[in-house]
Amino acid sequence: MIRNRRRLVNPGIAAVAGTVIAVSVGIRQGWGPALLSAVVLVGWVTLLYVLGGAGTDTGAVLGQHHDERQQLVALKAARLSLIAVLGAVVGACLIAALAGYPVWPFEILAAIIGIAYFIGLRVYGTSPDEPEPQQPQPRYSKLGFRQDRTAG
Amino acid sequence: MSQADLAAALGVSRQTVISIENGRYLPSLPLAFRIARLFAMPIEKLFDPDAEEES
Repeated sequence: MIRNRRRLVNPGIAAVAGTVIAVSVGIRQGWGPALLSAVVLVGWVTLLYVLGGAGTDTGAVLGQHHDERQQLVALKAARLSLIAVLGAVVGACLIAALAGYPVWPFEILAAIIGIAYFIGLRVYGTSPDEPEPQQPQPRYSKLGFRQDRTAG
Repeated sequence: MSQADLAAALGVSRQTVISIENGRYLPSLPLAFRIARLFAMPIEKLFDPDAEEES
């Protein structure tokens, strides 16, 4: 049951994000392009759900029931995906600059990726300045008796 | 014991058991301890760090 619920996480996130995008497209560009976005979204969500039930590493990662090795596989896949996104952002930036279009949306994307990377290093890394674990200091009462010892 | 039984006993996937058997994946310490306890053997009898260094 829990496994089935976990399987809904990724398709659910994609459905919510895709619906927001499709509605935004509908409001600004008309409901024709929005319908196309919705069709692509339904296909993508279905694919995520179906793959999430497969008995493979891909299924385990997409279905949120991965073990430690599959988590490592997911991290490596995410790293590859990040490199592809960075390449796409740099490429889009170059094309936009050469074609005379504004490049700031791509610069914002690149900045978000860079900042997130350094936040990740900070959050998941260990500082060399981190103090060594201290032995608990004995506690004494005002009369000088140790208080952290139990009788016996 | 089949790979599927072993995977179920360890709480990992069958693919992970296959990867460990083939030497393509080194398990974490907690998983290595679970394997050692399951087979009632010391870890160093199951995993040889020198063999990994040579490859």
